[in-house]
Amino acid sequence: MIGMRPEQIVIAEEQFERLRPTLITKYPDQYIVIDPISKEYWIDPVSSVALKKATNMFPGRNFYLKKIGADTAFSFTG
Amino acid sequence: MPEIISGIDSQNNVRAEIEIEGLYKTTPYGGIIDTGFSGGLVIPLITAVDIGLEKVGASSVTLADGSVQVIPTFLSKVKIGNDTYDATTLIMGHEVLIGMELLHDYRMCISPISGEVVIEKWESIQRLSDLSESLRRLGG
Repeated sequence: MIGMRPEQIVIAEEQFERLRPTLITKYPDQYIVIDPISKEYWIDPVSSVALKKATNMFPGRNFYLKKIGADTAFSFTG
Repeated sequence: MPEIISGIDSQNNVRAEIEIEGLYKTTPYGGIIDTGFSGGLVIPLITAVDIGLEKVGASSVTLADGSVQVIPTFLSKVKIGNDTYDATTLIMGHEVLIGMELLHDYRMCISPISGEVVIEKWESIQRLSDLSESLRRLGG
């Protein structure tokens, strides 16, 4: 159970890679939420705030969440 | 200052009482505080179905074994003490886990020898500290 269609994740990852060089200097360690349909994105230091910005713009859509400067949005260590 | 009920359970897990507000109901849980989890909240699928959550998509997550998975992601509201927060919520596992993003506004002290855990809002502590300092200055 992934929560998004694989092709949507691919589109979102590609958008992230395009944005990464600019974002990593301007918004290090902040969260980015990407809409694979419109390619729009929202950035915030708090993941839930970035998600709320996205859902307020496009209610009911599925978004992809990543962390700028990291391989993944979240991590479990230990 | 409202107290956040917390402590160390018989399995040596640090737990804190929170309320998770879903679309259908609000339920209290003694969630495990996972300092190794960088996100907000993790809840089991059965809990998510029970309370009803708003699905917002998916997140890439690095698991404890180093593997990377894409996890369904939801938004919930979590009440800690007297404060309610929006929480990025991942659906996985068998326990409610409270991550470090949700505890960002708090100071937490853990005393394993006594089983005591104290969680206080930092803003309240700062205000008390500022008040103490002001009174000290006034007192000369």
